[in-house]
Amino acid sequence: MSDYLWDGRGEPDPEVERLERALLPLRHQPKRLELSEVEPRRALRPFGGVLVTLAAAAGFGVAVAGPLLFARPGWEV
Amino acid sequence: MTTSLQALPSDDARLVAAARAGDRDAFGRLYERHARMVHGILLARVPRSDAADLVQDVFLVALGRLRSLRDDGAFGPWVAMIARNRAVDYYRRGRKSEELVDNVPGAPHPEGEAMTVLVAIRSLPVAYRETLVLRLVEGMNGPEIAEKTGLTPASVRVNLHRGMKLLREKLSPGAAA
Repeated sequence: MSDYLWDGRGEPDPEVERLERALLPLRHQPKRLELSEVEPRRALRPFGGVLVTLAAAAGFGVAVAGPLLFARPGWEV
Repeated sequence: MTTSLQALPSDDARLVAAARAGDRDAFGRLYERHARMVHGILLARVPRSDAADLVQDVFLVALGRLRSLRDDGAFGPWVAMIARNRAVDYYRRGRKSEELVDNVPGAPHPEGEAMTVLVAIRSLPVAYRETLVLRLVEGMNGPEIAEKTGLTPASVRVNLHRGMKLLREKLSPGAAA
C-alpha cells in the first residue's frame, strides 16, 4: 500500500477507485501541440531584422561618407 | 488505472536544451510529458471547456520564454507555475463562464457524476484541489506529482490525505469519519 492514496498497486481502495472511474471522462485527451501559431521571438518583432539592416547601412554610410564630408581640402588655392 | 509516463529531470534537461536550440520535436516531447499535469492544474481552476485550449496557450508561452528557464531540469515546476499564472490571467481578463452540470431528472449526463465530483474538489483549498485533480482525474501517482510539480513528497502525501478527507465530507455530509 502506498503512503499516498491508492494508485493502482496493491489492494484497491474502493472509494479512490470509484472516484477515479467517475472522473475518467475529464482526463486530459492528448492532442497535438500546434506550434505554428507562434514563431519564437522574431515573429513578435517582425521589423526587428529590417531595423538592424537599416542601422548597419546607416553606420556604413557614415563610415564611408564621413571622411569625405568633413575632410579638409588637401591643397591650397 | 494509473498510467505513468515517468519523466526524469535529466531527460527534461536534455529536451529543454534541444528545444532551446530550435528542435521542435524535443519541445513536442516536453509537451507530451507534461501536458497531463498542466491540464490538471488548469482543470482545478478554470471551466473544463476552456482547460484544453489553455493547455496549448501555456505551452506556447513556455516556448516563447524557454530562454528564461535557468534550471533546465526544472521544466515541470516551471511550466506548472506558468499554468497557475495563466489561470489567474483567465479570471483577470473576465473570461468567466459557468460550468454546466446536467441535472435533468431521468436524463443523466454521461459526465454528470464527474462534474459533481469536480465541483466538490474545486470547493476545497487550492493546494488540496490541485493535488487531488492530478491524482484522481489525471491518474498521476504521488511520486510523479511531486516530481513534476516540484512539491515535496511529504506535501503531496498531506495534500492527498487531507484533501480526500474533506472531499468525503463534501460528497457525503455527515458520513465522513
